[in-house]
Amino acid sequence: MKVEPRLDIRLFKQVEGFTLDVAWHMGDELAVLFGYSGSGKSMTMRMIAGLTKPDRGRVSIDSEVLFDSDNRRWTPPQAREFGYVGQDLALFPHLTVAANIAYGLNGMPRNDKLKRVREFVSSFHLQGLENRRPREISGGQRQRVALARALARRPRALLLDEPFSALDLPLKNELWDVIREVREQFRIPILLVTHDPFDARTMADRIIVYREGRVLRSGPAEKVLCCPDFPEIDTLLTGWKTPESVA
Amino acid sequence: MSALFPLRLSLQVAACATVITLVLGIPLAYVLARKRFRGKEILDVFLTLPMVLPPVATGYILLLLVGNNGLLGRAFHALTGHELGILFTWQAAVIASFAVSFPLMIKTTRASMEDVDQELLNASYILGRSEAATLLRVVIPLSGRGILAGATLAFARAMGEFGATIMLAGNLPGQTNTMPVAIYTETLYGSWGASLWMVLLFVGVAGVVMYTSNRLGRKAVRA
Repeated sequence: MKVEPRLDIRLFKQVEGFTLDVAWHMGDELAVLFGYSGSGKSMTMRMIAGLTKPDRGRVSIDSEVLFDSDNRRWTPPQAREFGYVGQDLALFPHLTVAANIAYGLNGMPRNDKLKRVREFVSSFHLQGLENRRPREISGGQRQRVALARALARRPRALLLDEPFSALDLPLKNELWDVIREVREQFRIPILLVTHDPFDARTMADRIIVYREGRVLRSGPAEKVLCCPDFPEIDTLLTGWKTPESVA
Repeated sequence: MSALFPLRLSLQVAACATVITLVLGIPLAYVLARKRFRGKEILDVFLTLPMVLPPVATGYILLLLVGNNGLLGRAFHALTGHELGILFTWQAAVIASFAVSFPLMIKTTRASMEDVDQELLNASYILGRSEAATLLRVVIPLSGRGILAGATLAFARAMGEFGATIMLAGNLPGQTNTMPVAIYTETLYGSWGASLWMVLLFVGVAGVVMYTSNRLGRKAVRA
């Protein structure tokens, strides 16, 4: 099935001996940004979210250009309308679960806001926890609050930067089910950073493989996974070095 | 001499100085804690210098600024045609107390604002909140303990201020004689008994203020 591109990325950035130079696109699908640590995956995420400014390049979603170095265009993170969940979740510790979810609904009428929060509390199975603070709930519940908060404002894309890497497998599987539901329900580009081959195999519609700041391979997951045409990809996916990749 | 007027004046001066300290200190501490710009550390030194300067020297510098022939005094006269006329008033005592207590507020608040995780600020920005809204909704609540501690220290320092106050506000009975100035005067004239009562009163009031603020601080942390 052909997927129409929605998120279009071209980024160049040089920092202290590392150069990121990548270009790729994705549609309403779950793309896994895959590669070794230090290959530029998280930096890419931060640039898409608007937290770090690229030296050169272009970021657009649908027809809207968010960053374009040629035309000196820069949209701050506040106006990009992306959902973002990082490894540390960044839940506001002084706010309750309900206030965390409502945080991004600024400007919405009070009744609509309450309704939206109730809807997300219910969808993410957080009933009864609304008035608790993040430190008073479990790790899995915190992950669900972070996802609910990111999605409550109906973002144009969801960026997940290794949000579940610190979790044990049963909890991780439970949250992958939540992500699958999100994918079905929201139909937005979901970009997931991981260096876990299991995550890449089980979740990806599309895989973008990074190596040392460059795109090694990008394509539909089944094509990249079935016949890795670079020994490094095989190594990444299996976790074992093949004789070719060592050579 | 009644100790009530000096006590009331000291509380009034310290409260006003603390309010000004809070209003100016929070944004300035935020800028010093979270912004990168040229001359940042020089600004920090300039703002916190009164902490290590003898208060009399701070008072002298303030005289050069807000005296009728001082830098701001002359600018005020040029703009309005009136004398600034702030010296030897209780407002001058507020300026003196503010100058010496402000660095304590800046240092404590800056340190607590630097401790706020940058990822929380990033999360706020991505969720659509402006920098000002993030300061109000995230940075200030999470630095609340430091701000409260800074304000408490500033209040206590403002209440005890003597050197800069006597340079700027003088020692006019019933007008500018704050508690420390009154203690000094009574001791100078050999009224040891009156001084002792004022010192004890001072210790009591200062103790109650510190105890209340510490309790508030603990509640803020638990909340």
